[in-house]
Amino acid sequence: MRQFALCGTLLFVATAAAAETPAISKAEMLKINEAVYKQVNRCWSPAPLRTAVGVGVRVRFKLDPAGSLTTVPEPSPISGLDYGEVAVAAAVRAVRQCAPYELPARAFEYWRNVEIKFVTPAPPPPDPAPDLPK
Amino acid sequence: MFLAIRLTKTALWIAAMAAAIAAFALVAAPARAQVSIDINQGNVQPLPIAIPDFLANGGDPQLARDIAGVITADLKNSGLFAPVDKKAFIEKISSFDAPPRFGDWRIINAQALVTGQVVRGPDGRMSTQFRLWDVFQGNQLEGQQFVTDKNWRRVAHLIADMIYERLTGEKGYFDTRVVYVSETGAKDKRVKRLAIMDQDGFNNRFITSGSELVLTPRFSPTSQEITYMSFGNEDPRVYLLNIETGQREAVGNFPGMTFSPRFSPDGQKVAMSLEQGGNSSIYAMDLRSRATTKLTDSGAIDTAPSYSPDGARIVFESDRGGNQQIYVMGAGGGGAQRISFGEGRYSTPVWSPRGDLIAFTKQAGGQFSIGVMRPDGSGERILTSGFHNEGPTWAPNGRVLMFFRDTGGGPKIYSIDITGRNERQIPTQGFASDPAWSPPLN
Repeated sequence: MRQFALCGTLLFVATAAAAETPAISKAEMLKINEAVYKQVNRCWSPAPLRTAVGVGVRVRFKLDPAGSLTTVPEPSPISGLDYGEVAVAAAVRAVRQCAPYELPARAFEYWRNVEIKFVTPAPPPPDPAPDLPK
Repeated sequence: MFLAIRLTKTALWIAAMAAAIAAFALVAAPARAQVSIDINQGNVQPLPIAIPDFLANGGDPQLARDIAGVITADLKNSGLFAPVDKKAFIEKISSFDAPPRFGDWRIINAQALVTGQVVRGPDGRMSTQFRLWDVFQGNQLEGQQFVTDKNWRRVAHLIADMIYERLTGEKGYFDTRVVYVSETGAKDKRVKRLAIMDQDGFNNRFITSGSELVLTPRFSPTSQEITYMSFGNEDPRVYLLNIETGQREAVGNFPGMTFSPRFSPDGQKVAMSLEQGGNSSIYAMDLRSRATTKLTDSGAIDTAPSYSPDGARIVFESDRGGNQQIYVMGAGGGGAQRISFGEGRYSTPVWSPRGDLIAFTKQAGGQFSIGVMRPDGSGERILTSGFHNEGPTWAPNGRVLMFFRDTGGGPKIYSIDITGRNERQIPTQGFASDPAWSPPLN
């Protein structure tokens, strides 16, 4: 009986929590990811890194329900990529500049923690060499 | 029966636990979850930077404005920065020492801010001080003071170099000069003189008289010397010229024409071509001992040698395979390997100061193109095409090139970055060809 009682309590707590914080679907998660991408991408100016290739930085940060930063953005290296002060500054600047983030309040538990990998754009593809006239 | 009851109870317990775990998973996952995305595009527009006029605290207000103006022009011309229109400024900087009101600069979307002042010291000497601020982080990134005596433009270029390096991670190239062949007069009676100017076209002066035809000037990487080819009354020869003293001397005493010279990275040797019987071979001369070494002997036309930055290899052009192509060999000669295999002819290869790329001129399909490839010949990219482009030269940071273009009226010098963007004409006095970019001046 004691086992049943314990299980019942767990089930009750879980159900109550579920009622307070609605679960979100995979599709909603993707929509939120896209919204964060669009907002941050607008603020990230890698132009000064245009001639640098293979530079990257990971930035983690936390948001409050209004979409404002609650922590200082925390940069860290990405394995296999160069990691420099300039790349870090550009990434952190983008995260700060874009706040507050406009995201759906009901999914706050999903987007309160954010991790973004900033990687410098690839160089333009090689231009085909012009052919000799036949 | 007892066993059956026990089993039923166990089954119920497992079912209840599973339900509990499932319910927890539904709500607990979002609590641990996070948005995780990759961004690799970004806003490729130049970085907005605000550069208010520098303050003149005891200094000359016009000089303070001019220094800020040169810094602004350098950064704008790099194509990586967009100076914000001064009319948009909200805060008027009135103190060099007080931190700026970052909020005012954020509103106008300036991502970086440069403040500065020109100060007259107790000894009467002028100094220029500047600070670079990260507007969104709200902190100072850089600060420096320079004594400003005669050449205030150099001070401005040095400041622009520091800002460029701090914000791009690459060395700046603004405090550099360019030597080129100035061309004046009618097309069939062109006077060609060597001229030298700052990389932005200012402080132009002529360093040869125009009495002799001059070609292919190249900077020494270590001294105030250039090497070039000159047609006088005798055979065309390679000369060394000290650009400060004007002293000139021939490089070697060869029986035939010498041309297409280039210094080694340590400045101790000059590699060049020597014409003999319709063919040409590449030689290197030690400038201290004057000893010469023959580096190629292919029975073809080998020319346009250029050292790798470590001095271990030489890239050059040769028609030994039937038409002009690019080859790489050891700096002591021998073991030449062809690295260009595209259609057309390749010429004037120049090794990047960073060692990662070789720039070249390519002639194919009736067009002359400037391109880059890796030292193994892979990754060929054409940066610009048309009629007629030729003679690339690298900025010392290996990220920008100059070359000359003649569309029929006369040659002009252009710059372009290694992504093929930001092509710009460089102001020169008259027509200009054969540019050669100096190493950093300091």
